[in-house]
Amino acid sequence: MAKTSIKGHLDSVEEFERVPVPESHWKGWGSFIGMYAGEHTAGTEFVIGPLFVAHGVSAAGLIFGLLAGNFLAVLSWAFLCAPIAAKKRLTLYYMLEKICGKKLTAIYNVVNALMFCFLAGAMIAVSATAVGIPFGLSMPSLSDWLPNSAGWIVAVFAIGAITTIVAMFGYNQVAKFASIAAPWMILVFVAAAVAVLPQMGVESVSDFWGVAKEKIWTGVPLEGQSKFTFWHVMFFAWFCNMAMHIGMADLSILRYAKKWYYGFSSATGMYVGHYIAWVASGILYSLFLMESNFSTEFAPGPIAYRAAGLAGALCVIIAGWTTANPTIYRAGLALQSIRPKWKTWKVTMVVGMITTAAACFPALVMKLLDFVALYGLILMPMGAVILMDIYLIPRLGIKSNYAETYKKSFSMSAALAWILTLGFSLFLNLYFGVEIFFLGLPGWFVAAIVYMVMSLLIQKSKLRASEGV
Amino acid sequence: MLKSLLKVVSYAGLFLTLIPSILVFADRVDLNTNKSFMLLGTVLWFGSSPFWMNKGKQGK
Repeated sequence: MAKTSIKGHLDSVEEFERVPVPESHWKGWGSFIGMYAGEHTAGTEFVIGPLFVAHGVSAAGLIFGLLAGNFLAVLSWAFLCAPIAAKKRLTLYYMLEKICGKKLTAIYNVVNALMFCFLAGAMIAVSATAVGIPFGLSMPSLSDWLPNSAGWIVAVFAIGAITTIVAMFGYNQVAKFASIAAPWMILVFVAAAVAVLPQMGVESVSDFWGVAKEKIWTGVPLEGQSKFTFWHVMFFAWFCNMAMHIGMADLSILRYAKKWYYGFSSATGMYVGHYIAWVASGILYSLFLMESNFSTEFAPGPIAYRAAGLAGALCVIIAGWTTANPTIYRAGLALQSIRPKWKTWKVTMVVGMITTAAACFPALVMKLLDFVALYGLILMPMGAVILMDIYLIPRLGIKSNYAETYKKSFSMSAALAWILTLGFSLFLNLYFGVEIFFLGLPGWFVAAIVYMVMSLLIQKSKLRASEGV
Repeated sequence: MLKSLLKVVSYAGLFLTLIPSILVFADRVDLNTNKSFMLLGTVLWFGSSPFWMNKGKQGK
């Protein structure tokens, strides 16, 4: 009976995968403020803040780099992604199907889902470092790529199972939990950092900047880590969610927004999660480095536990959980759009299992900055394609929604835009040594230009052919 | 009435999560006491907020 009831509930989870979200289901500011604050005050924040410290960014580079980069990210959500979401009210995947065709969208969706799985996996791994504390789990270090114990795998699977089950019940459950946890999480981040400041030598507010420059963000990278500057921080802050704003993945979320300007609600995620939380976790990691004589162990759970006790460890678990949840949900939508008849919850369950398997590898955490930048870069070109297709393609006298209009299953224009952008980025990286954090900006223009030019050529030639007949 | 009471408990939880850390910074409370207050705040927050947050909103 209970089994039937649960399955019935799961089957009834309606996510409007192939129709515009009806007005009766639009959501107010509160849902998005909570969602963004929760999603971006996440397990990854316990990793990214410390990695900035490890990469030797200066105090000024961090503070001003985050200010500028997060501002650009909010503008990207508000002026690129949200207006399209409010205009069309469709998922990213369904929009791509109309523009790029089913076959290309299927390829994109598999890549997309895999990237989401790895990202969610990193967050589950972060949570596992906290779950493992009472069991004396051996924690991974900066150089670890493979799981270092059976206990680690058990901890990862426990967190992964819970995360997957919650995600199977749909976006509403995820949003509810995130909005409840968000205010508490950010206070734990802040409280943990404030409480350890005296141990760093900060006796009054006026001491902070001096200690920040000399002991926290010293400008000197740890051994084996590359040097980060203001530009690294700014571009990372802007592009770490590139897949979601410029890449348009958040169409799937913001299509529920009553107004386009709810895109500005991303500011809660950026300035609370990607500013305060990164600063706070950097402070906690610096104290750990000082006390451990610069140990290479890298485990957010014990670091938070050291500063804030059980509340800190719980914060790491829940922070990872509230970000892994929507990420698994997005990955589920990506795969489900390949076969719309598949039940969302079943797809989400499979995605959760892949995610959990990926989370066993600590490399996802140790190389998180590079992975996050790569993930944004790989998914970004399709965001440029969507933007061009909606705003500029009609002005060229050719048709939007190429695949739907011409009943095609594969858009060569979009495929070339994607492939040439990634090829161009790889070229810049290999031959000019441009770091991955800086490739997104030139890449976006390449994607937009290639898509426009190819669309013009292909559609004009079709027109000429039909006139000739 | 009950909702108001739950809200008071929730805000007390947030208060206990943050404020003691400032007292640690001001050298009025030690770090271990702060950890206990933070845990108490956590219990109060999660024990009360789900009963009034997200209630009465349009759901899917």
